[in-house]
Amino acid sequence: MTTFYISIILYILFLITFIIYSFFALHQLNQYGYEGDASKPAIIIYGIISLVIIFLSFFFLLI
Amino acid sequence: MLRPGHYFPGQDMNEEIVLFLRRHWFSFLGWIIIMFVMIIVPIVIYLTYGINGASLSQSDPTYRYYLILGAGAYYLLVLAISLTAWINYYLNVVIITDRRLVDVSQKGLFNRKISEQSLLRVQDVSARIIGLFQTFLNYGAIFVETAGDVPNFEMPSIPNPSKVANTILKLHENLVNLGDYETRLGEAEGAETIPSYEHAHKSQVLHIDNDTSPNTQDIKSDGPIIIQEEKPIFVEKDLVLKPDYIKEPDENIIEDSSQLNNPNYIDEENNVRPIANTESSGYIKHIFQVEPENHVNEYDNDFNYDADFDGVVVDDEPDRVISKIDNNIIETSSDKDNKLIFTNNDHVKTQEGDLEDGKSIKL
Repeated sequence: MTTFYISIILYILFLITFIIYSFFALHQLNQYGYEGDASKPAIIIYGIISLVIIFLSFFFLLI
Repeated sequence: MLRPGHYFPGQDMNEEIVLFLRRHWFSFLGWIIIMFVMIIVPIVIYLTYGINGASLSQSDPTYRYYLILGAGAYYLLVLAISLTAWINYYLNVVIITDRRLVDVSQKGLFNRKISEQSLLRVQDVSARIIGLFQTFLNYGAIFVETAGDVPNFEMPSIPNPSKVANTILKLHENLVNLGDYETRLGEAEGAETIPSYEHAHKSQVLHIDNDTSPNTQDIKSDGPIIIQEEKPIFVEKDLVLKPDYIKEPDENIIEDSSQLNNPNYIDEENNVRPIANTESSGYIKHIFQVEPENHVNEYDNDFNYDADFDGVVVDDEPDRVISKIDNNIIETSSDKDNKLIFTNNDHVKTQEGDLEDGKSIKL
């Protein structure tokens, strides 16, 4: 069980790193993208896919 | 998010974006394939072998947790790599304005380089299409050779490179043909002394006392209005035709009203010259010849001009806002009931009363 908790902690640490990295990447895209181009849709799609993956990973852990 | 019309730092307000280019999609295809493989391969492995030969639900709980957390982390990593690759592709742009080439190079998330080159320094432009795919998909590299010690400009994977190269050369020729090449080249090299009337060699301001002007028929005559080039007057650099910066001639400045119909008459003392007369309850206060270097800028609430419009705008309201002038099409957002006269060397058109927002006049 200890291994399990360590895995969860490592996963959460990874998630924090992922979120920080994504924040900077999306900020860059938002800052230098052009009004009306694909930057905004890309930000939205990326956000949705990320949330879906994170949600599914915790969902499968709990079932 | 960068505003429409503003594409790079240092862009002049009246600088026109001629081409905005991203690399050809084929140059991103490698990343698409890599990402596709990275997404598909784990799924195929799982579906083929399962976990120790068992399905997810039947497997050892420990393996199951590792698999779920590992898969979650793996796909988030793939997603982050995909985003980074896409940003590198998508924010890598080449912008060609009527004055310069701008290469915005994005390498990684935090490495962004913007290099620009004046079109005046362009010596030769060549397009290179190499290989089967580039030939088939019509994309390739453009090399711009520049004068002096300035590094050459290279733009890889540009769609339709021959056409782009042609456009760059045409823009260069247009810029050179505007005249005053040496001064402009000096400006491109960072010289400090630029004549204050640099952009105004075709501009002029005219005042006509309309109380004595003849009727509108004179303006609507078929013959062209000959506009002679005049030394620049009343105009400041970069503020061409902005009312605030134009020296206002006194009213009734042309005292000899008999000269109002004489296109060759020049009031040298006041530097004004009639080029058109009109019947109006008011009077024509300014006549401008549009300077080809002035362009539409939707953020400028003062007078705006388009490079292709080299006619004359006659405006009887110095504070009238002309929001957009497109190629021989003038739009005004003025709410004043005055007469507007638009003319180039061939045609004259008058507009009585107010113009609705966005309404255009085609000469």
